[in-house]
Amino acid sequence: MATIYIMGKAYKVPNTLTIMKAIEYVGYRFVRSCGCRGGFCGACTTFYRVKNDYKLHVDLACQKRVEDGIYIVQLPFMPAEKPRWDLDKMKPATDEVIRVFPEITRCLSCNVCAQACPQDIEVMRTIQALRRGDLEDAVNLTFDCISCGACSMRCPAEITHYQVFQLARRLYGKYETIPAKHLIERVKEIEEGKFDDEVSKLMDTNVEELKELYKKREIEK
Amino acid sequence: MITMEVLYYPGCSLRNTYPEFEKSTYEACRKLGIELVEIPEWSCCGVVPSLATDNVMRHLGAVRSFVNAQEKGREIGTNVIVILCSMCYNVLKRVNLILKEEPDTLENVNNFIDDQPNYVPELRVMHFLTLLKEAGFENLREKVNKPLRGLKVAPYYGCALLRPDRPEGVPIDNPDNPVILESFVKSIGAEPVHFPFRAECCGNYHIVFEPRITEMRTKKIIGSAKSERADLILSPCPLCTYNLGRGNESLDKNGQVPVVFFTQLLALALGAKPYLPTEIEDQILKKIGGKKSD
Repeated sequence: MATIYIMGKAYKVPNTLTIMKAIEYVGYRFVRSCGCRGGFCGACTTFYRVKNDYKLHVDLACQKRVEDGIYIVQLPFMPAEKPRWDLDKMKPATDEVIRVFPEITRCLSCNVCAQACPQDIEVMRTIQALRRGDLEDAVNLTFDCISCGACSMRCPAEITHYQVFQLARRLYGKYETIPAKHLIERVKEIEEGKFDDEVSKLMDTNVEELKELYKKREIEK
Repeated sequence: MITMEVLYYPGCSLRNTYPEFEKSTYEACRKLGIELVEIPEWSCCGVVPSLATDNVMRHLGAVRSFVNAQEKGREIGTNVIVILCSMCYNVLKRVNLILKEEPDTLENVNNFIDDQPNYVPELRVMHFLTLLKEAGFENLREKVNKPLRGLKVAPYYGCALLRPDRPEGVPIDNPDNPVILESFVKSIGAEPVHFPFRAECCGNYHIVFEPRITEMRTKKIIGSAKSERADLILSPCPLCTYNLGRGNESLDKNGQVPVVFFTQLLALALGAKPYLPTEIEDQILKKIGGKKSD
């Protein structure tokens, strides 16, 4: 068993559990800070400290196993206004990104962002790549970003990195990559109404039936 | 033929606003046998040096660039970093001097940056003009194959290359009576024009919130160069160039003086591509009676 501290209160839990399971084990029920449970969605971002270590760590609660003496708090939400942009009126250039997010230029190169990233993304390197005018580098470095916001919570320059990266990837995706043929075809099918009947059918189904359907769904092996 | 390898810090302005400054330098360096080795993963210099002596946080971008430069430098066997942008030069030079002179600050910074090797302050931060000067302007003169004879050039220093004079070693020349740009202009065969506003401030970042201040100042600078019959203003600084450009826009055609980077004239004089706007290159060639570069 391990002693863990959830928002300061001590609990004893089996030390094989993930942070997420440990929180449920002691009686909490998640209404948020929980999503895919598979390490993809970024909803369960958790800040913690462990014994004899001054560092503040960040991980996904569904991925990190508890340790004896761990102090835990979850990040329920990252407050940030999402700026509006119009990709059609923009160029695939880093100065466009800086125009939308001028706070990028406040980066101090402290690299605390990268140390906070549960996905091990080189966050500071990406911001600096944008300053250097290297959009492609920025895009490739942030492919695995799950937009959890841990970097932004720690940033002394108050950059909302995950939004910045999203804009960089959208610009690059729109203008610099070869369009995917199957995607174009699928969008056309949707626009032509190929799936309208199925969607309407689902919308008219009652909750019990939906639950049955969900249980019997095909799962990719 | 490459005779010298140096580390090179480009800076954001060259990459985003004035690529011609960097491109003309690369062209010129190819002719001079200087290999510019870009520092891998360089960070923004921080733009404005912190005047609070304990604000080391502001200097982290510079220090991280130094660490990367140090590692690359050990690989290629040099400790010299060359910089083109005046502001980057000013910041990096000052930070490096602080780290050399203050062991406590150095320790503080090295402790904070715990994800990279420690910085041992042995790098030499140098402006490109200083590199040319140390290689000898008379040697440069010998490599010039298209001397810009008859071209009257007003060398404009701005602030960042000459001020402040503390810590010692920041100004690239005597701050009260600099001659390095004039010597450079002579070595490429042109005629330096002495004008009283050559080291006056262009208005700097007032361009953002009080553009009338930069306009007022740059009009004086341009007017001063004009009254000395300068064909061109020579600038070493991206921000000065931007502000002088805005100053030119506010003047009528007769009062304007085109502004070029010193490396553009250097490339032209060496017979390399200067990345000048066509009309300015034509104007220069007409003046010196030469043919267009390839």
